[in-house]
Amino acid sequence: MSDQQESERLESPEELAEVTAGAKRTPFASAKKLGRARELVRALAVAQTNATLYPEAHPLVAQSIDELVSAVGDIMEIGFEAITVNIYKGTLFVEDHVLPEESVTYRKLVEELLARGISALTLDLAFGEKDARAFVELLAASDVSSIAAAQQFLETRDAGAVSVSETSALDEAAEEATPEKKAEARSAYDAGIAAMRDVETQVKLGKVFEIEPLQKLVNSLLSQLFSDPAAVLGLTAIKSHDDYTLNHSINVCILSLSLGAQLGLDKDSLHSLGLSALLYDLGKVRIPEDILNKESPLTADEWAIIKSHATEGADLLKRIQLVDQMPMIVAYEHHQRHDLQGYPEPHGAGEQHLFSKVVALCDAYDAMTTSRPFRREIRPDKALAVLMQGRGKAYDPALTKAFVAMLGIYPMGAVVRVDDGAIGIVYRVNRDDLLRPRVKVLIDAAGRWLDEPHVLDLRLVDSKTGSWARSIDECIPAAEAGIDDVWDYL
Amino acid sequence: MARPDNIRAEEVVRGLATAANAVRLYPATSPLRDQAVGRFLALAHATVSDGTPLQLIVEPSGFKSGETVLADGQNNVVAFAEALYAHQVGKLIVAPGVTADEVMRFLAAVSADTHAVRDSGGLRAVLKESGVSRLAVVEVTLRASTDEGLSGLDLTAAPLEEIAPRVAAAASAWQESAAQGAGNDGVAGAVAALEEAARDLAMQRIAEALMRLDEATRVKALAAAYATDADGEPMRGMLDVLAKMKPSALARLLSLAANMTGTPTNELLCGLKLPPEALRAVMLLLRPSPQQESARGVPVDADVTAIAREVKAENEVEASELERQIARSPRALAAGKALTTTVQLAMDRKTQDAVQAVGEALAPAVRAGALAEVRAALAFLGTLDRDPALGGAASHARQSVADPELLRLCIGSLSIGADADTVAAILSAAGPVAADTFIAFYIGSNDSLRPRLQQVLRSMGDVVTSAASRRIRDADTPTARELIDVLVGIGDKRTVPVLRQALEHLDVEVRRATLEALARIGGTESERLLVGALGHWDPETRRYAARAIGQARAASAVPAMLKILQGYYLFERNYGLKKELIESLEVLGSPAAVPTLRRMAGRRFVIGRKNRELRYLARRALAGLEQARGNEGRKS
Repeated sequence: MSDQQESERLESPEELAEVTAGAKRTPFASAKKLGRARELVRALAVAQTNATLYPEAHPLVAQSIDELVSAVGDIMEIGFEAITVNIYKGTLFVEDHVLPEESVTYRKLVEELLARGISALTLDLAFGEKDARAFVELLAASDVSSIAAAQQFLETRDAGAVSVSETSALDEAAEEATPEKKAEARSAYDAGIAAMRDVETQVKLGKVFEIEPLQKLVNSLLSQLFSDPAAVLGLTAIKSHDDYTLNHSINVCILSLSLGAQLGLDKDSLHSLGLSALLYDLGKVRIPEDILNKESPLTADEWAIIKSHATEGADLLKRIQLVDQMPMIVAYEHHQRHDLQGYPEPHGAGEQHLFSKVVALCDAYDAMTTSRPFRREIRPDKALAVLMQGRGKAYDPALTKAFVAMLGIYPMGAVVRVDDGAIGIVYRVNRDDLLRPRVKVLIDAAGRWLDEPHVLDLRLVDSKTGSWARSIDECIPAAEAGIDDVWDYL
Repeated sequence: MARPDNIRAEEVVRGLATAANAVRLYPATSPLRDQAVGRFLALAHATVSDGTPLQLIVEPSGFKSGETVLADGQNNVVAFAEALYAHQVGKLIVAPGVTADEVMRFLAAVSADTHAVRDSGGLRAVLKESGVSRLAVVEVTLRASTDEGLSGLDLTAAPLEEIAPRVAAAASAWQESAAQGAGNDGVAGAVAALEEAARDLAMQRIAEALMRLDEATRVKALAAAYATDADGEPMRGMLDVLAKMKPSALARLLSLAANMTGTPTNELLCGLKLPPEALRAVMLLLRPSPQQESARGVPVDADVTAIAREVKAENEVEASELERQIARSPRALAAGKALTTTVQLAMDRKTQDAVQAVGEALAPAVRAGALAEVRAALAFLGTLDRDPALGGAASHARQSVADPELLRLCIGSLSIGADADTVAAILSAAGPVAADTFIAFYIGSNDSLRPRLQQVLRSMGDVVTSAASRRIRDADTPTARELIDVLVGIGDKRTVPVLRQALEHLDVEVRRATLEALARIGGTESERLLVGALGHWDPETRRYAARAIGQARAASAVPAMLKILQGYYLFERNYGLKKELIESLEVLGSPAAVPTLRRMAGRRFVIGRKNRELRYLARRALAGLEQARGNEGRKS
């Protein structure tokens, strides 16, 4: 395929996202790659120190410039066309990967950059000796004290491969989602509940339900997922006791789509996965509600009836197989488990389909983290621990890890107590450190609800102590903290 | 899509804006005014029928419910919002039970001169003055009265931080006064002083303000509110406020208060007048979980560091296994699994519906190359053939593979290693269409694929021969020859009846090919047909038959051959036939031919070149036969 054809073909946002995903998703996932990020910061710091201590012509200055050029070249090999060093609230990040130790060790570099109004430094693929020299001179120039002056300084030295800015990408990322986007996502969610309610009603009446509204719902969720993943994933924080089945199926759909997108499934597959995730539990419509909601332990007969929902669901969904066969398969297989020790008993050789495994994981997670009449919800971190314990048995090992990596150890919407006693909600997960999300603090240590909740990035380093400024003490159930409607705060 | 409650709110706004227009445009005697107000009232009553007042945010550009803009861009609604905003109204509240009289007075106040309204203390004061209590407005500016405590605050607009300490103080005051007998409920008093429509909002704001207190003070305030006066009554105003709290916050507060006072939570809860849903939610939160986490295998604590480490650790085997699954995940590739699932469902529940589903799953499975699953499904359908209730459905389901395009795919999969028996089983189940498709495919195939096709052909001989039988007699020459080729591929006696028909084809070349085919197939049936062909009406065919007999080494044909050689045919110069017969006899080497050959070879006087040629061939054949016999004699 020619370049032109390729560029013509890649038109949809999801296709473009897919292409760029390689570099954007956890670019420093391996130790080797992370080492390059660290080396880049070290080279910047050494060059800055040498430029301050020695005259321009000193061999050490020249050597550090060479090392900086080399470090930039090395990091570009990972797949970047430009790399940004961000300073967010005094902490150093390469792209969005926090470098806690370097934030303290190279404090001088951070201070010199901030003194010039620089919060983000972007070096592109063309970065060479001329650019490195200009940048080092900038850090040594005592008369540059504003971003405008810094930009002018670089411009006059023709350092086109270096750009500096006052705001880092992380400042922007910390901003709240716009109310419009939130409202749009919520509207899709509510429409989903209505569509699922219709399906449920039709099935209960023994009628054939329409698949088109569900397809539209999946389309809508998918397009929003690609434009604002956090807004959509945040919707899974909506829990309902009354409409549990409906909410649960939408939540499982969102989680499944997010995981599917994370796995790099194509658009067609994502649609199919989304539809399957909406309908996998449809068989429960045929199970008496008094059994479904029974608080005391189930008898063997009742348990057998509950188990029949997988077959019942597949039986209902075989009617739509001309549109898509996956919902039927997923409904049938979602309790079979990765090790095929579940139900219905598998016949012959084979394995659970990937979509069934995805839905099984998302189903288990959302069910565990939602309160039911017969049991309380489990904290998200414990729910993930349960899933991790089930790796290789109930759940696919690599898929479970991908799921946890997607959600974070403290997923969006998890209520946490920070080590200063304040209580907040995990607002965004930081991919580079799953244990250190951004938390929206709602309640202070004395139990006072704040007028203006603020977002706390737990990756920030205390420049005085060199350790993390704040950490999570524990995850707590939202109800225990007195928090309703977690979604409202995301 | 708009949420249903927003749709209703929008209708109310439109209704009120229309009523405002009607009041402004028509004289007091016009029925249109009453109609418009009546319509608004109907909408309003329907919307607030659950007892919760409708609260709308007023902006110069229109109305909002939460974040949703209502009746966006509708001129009369925008004009009405502008009119309200001119009176510095930030919020409009519609309470249950609003009357037509209140609406009329409200609209009159809104349409009055803004300066005059402001001079009278603002729209809210004007409404209060005129007795409108179920349509209330919250003004943008905060104006407190000169009263002390909560009563000195505009509870609908004052900052929550200002309200909070006064609520705590009111609770303390209640506790002290109640202890002396007559409780002083400052909260109830402050709320009662407000117009009816604003009371709900005020109580909600007091509840929110409580949350701005530190937890210890909040719990203390709650505990104080439960203190009873001489009549045994608690601080009702505060308890009504608590009923406005969100369930989780209330449940937590009640738990903490219960711990502090030693009163069971249920008892505390009984003092609150909660709506049934809220009561249920709070009770659920307060009661212990029927199932304990430990019983569900949930760890006491999650080792989050270990999980993070584990997630980050690379495991190439697991990762590549996941990659494999991802590559196999597209739904088209899952069609085999879908088919197996439908079969499983149909086995569990033998219904027409289930059998039909199997039929629907067959075609995608063939397309996906899931031939083993297709074969199994067809076999299952086969088991239903004798079922009186499902036989028809099974047969119908099977027909879904009787599609030439699918069958071509199925046959073509042989070139990528599909199992020939499986392909044959599928084709056989598909019936005559499959045979025709197969024949066409076979004819168009190249030599490299033929051996694989022949494996299939042998398995499905009956179906193919029957299809060939239908076509062969009327087929054009090339097709007929190809059909004969296919029959040779089957290579057994089942093909002979069809070849018999081919011997009646109009084209001699077809007949020739048929005879050659019979020679290649061999066997008694073929030989019998070859012998019969010696008597074919066409001399050339007879000649080809004679040759084919030699090729087939059909010893059983010798008597018939000799009979022809010995015969005299007055009207037929059959030199050609005799030549072929002699040559075939030479090949057959039958001793029975020796006398006849010897007689022919011994003719001394022959006339004509052709007769001489026959004598020569007979001599050659005889020599060959004798040499063979000599060789045999030496061997023995």
